[in-house]
Amino acid sequence: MNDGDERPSERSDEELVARARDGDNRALDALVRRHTDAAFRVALSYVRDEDAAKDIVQDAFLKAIRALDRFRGDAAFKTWLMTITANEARGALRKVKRWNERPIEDAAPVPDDKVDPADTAVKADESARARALLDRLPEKQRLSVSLRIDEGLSFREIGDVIGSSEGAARVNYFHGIRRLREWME
Amino acid sequence: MNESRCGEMRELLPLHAAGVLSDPAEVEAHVSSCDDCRTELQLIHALLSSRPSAPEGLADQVVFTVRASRRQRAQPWWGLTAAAVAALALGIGVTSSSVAPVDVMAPEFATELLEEDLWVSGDGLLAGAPALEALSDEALEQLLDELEFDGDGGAA
Repeated sequence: MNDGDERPSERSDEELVARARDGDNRALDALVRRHTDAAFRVALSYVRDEDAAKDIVQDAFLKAIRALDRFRGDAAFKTWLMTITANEARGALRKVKRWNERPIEDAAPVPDDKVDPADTAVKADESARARALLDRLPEKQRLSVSLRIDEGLSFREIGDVIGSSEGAARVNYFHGIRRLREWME
Repeated sequence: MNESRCGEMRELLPLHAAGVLSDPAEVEAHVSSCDDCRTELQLIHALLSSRPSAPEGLADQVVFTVRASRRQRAQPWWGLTAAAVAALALGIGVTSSSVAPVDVMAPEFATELLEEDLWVSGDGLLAGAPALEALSDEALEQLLDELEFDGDGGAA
């Protein structure tokens, strides 16, 4: 196949990064579209507010694209982007905590877009319930579970994103899962 | 149930649920006979099926923002005077002290470019500047470094 016939969406992240560095905006767009969902989920896992998460995603992508020349490819682009997103999210949380006395951990869980929050039958919906309970886990357990299950990251990659060791990421994951199982019973 | 076996399988459950295991049979065989792991797999499936997506339009918004940022970063090139651009096109080394007197050399096209035309095309060349066509991005950057502009001069 002619290299020029391949659509950006069919290229690997490595190829897209190389092309984006060379000024290929279609490659840049493809990277953004491919990873927006994951970046949003990471941001949401931290701040648990959709509007704040959207802002964090924009800031994270801006930083990532500006730093693209410095991306060495040691980690996967997705992991690198999520690390930047997590840093942005933690920064946003630090700002909120300065102004808001209410502990972030006490914030109500963000309702799932697919579920009508007024529907009392939500509790019977195992998926929505699991997701709502995930939101109540302590931050590192919540992030470890979310990054493992939602994004398929290895424990080493999870550690890189949340700023912990691989071992700590593994422990946080299994503790989080155990707690969720207890709550779900 | 063998705990270490369960430990191995539990590490694989998220991968199995995501459908990315090359050989899922081993996990499936274990889960069929282990209540504990089966319950955990159900939880993982429940979480996966409620995985949130970015709000509609966010990706478009980010694309727009990123492109605008790139455009803005490309603009400092045109913070140069038209004379400096002409000088670059002619391959003349330029310093800030020599820029001003070269006004008379400014090619007409350089002064008529609109802001929206200042765009880095997909092939890495500056749109609307055919005189710079022969220069690579690295060469252009090197020439920019040779220009003795301070922060107020326009070129970043």
